[in-house]
Amino acid sequence: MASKETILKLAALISTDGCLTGNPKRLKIRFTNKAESLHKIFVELIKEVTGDKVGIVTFMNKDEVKTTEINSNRLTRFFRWLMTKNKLLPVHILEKSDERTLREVLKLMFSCDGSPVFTLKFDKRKKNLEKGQKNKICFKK
Amino acid sequence: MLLLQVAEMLKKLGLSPQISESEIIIEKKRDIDKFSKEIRFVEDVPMSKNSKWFGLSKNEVLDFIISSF
Repeated sequence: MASKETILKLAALISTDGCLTGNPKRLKIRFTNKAESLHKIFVELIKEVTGDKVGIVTFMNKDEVKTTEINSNRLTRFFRWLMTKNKLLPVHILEKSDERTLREVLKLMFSCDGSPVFTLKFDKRKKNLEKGQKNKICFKK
Repeated sequence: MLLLQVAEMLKKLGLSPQISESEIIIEKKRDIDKFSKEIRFVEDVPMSKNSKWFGLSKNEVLDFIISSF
């Protein structure tokens, strides 16, 4: 049985760069991201939850972005139920989580494609960063 | 709603992010510093191809931000 922390981390990845899809007979969890390391984490979490019992397929889409697909009706139904159709993180697990778990979940969410967007001011003449400019980290989803 | 959940988690960890309709922004020096020390990014996650920082990892750019203060 997977820990609540594992399920929350997996939900974080699915809610940011994944989707629950397929027809009613063949449901899938699909994770699409450029970073190889995130795919490895995703697969490890899936194996922790299922005990190595599901089919995992990886391929590149037409934009050469890697996709990892899990063919599991049971797992997809479970996450649909857990996260609701709005792709929310499971609130009851989130509220009971400790700070370490929250940090890990945020690390995963901020590491997914599209977030964060860094807007650093760069001085081309000096070839370094301008001091004291408005640097920020954004989360856009 | 997902944005609000992320903002809530950041607040629980003592950060004070700004929230707009479509994004959460962490821009205070104290918050970026805390983010860098306590959260960071997964190692080797690259910057996007559209970014002028393409070729570097997100953590490397984060360290640039910290060194620019």
